Amino acid sequence: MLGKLLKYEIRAVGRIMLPLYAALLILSVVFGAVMASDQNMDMYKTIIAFTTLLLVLVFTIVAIMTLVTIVQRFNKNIYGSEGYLTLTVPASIATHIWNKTISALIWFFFSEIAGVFALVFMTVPVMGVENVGTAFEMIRKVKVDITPLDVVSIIIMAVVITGSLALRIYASISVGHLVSRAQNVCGIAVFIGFTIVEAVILNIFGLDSFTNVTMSISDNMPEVGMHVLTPQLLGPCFFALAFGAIYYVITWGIMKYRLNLQ
Amino acid sequence: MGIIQCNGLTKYYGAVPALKGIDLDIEPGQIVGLLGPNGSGKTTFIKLANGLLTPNGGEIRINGNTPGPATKSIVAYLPDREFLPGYMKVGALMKYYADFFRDFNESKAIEMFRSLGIQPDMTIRSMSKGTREKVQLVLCMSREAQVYLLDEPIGGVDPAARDYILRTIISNYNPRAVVMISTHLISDVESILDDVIFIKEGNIVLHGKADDIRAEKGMSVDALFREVFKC
Repeated sequence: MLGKLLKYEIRAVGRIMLPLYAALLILSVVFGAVMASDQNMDMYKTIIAFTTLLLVLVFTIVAIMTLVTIVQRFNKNIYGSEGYLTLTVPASIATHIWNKTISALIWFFFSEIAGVFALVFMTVPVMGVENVGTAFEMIRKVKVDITPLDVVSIIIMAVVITGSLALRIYASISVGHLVSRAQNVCGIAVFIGFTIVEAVILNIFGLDSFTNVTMSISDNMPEVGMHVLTPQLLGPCFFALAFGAIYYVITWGIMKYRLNLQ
Repeated sequence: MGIIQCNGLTKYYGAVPALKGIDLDIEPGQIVGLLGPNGSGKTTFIKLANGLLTPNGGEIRINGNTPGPATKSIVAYLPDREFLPGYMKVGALMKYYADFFRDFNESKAIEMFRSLGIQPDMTIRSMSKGTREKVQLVLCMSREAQVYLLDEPIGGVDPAARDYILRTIISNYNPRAVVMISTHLISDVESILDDVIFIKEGNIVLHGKADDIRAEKGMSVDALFREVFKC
């Protein structure tokens, strides 16, 4: 049942996100081509400015739409009119929540990949294919000794942190569903509340926020040859796992015992 | 033991009671009319049976189980509102139903859509309201379920469409199943009902065989309804 739900969920989100990814990648190719073109062209500066503006706009739209789509899919598909279809298929509440969470992880991942490809399409025409290897080495700052365990750890931590974020969104929407009016506003307020509580708890334990964890992986690791499995990076991830579990229980509990589809 | 059973089923919306301790035992193999005016608790009862609401007290069981995956696999539900995703095509919706419901008869659905002139590549949002409602009905009645819960299937459509809907229900439901039709349009459905339930302000005020009620009261169910629910 989870596989079937995931199939339809991915299709539903894909019809929104895939055209956006296409727009991003096409613009990136155009940008890269323009950057690598004859800079003496009269219209060069105008074209660059216009393309840059469009690119920034589309990057921003992709990032925002990934989040908005994930929120909307849960809200409409579970607590909205589509819930009359979704929640009447013979699937358990746990299956529905896992479906939404896995789908969110997949689309966050695809958005990241689209962003990486966009950057490649923008920069390769400018630096030339033969310089790509050098560029990667510069980014890695040569001294890094990344092991396969580091790669696996980064992936696991990314999954845990992103999954926890998705579950926080779902729990917030579910709590919002408990009130009879202004459910969306309530959901946003609860999301902010959950975020603050997480930050406070992390601070109490002397740990960085999840945003800083992500920055640390890219900033600290290359320069000091530090590997990923360190307390300052693992700590927030264990908390992300714990918070994610709490948000899961909140969402499951509300859907099981307080569902009131209007 | 009935296929739909409830004991002391209670539901509040805030402080407002929608169902007040309902007891029911409905046997399979009949068409049951859940009849009552707007706000009497019909939709609330049906949504509780589908697990879309949680009761405040008592319980409801479908084939011995509380609403969950086991009951949802045998209950075909037609809500009183539009619920199909607008972007989906008819063909995709048939695949969806076939994927999730083992009792979905795809060839029956194809035949019904063909007779209505509804093409598989039509999207839901491109259809008129009446056509969307017919699509919903066809998908529901193409299931060979054990319980059909139809919430106001003929409300909001023209008389010709009502006839079509009632014909579709009669000719396509699993005869070993129970079909529960909630409506306040009694005269249109009376002729097909085996069993009648009157619900008023969250209480069951009458439950019996339609023929027995007509014989006992000396009037049609519609006339009795107008008397019981007189304003």
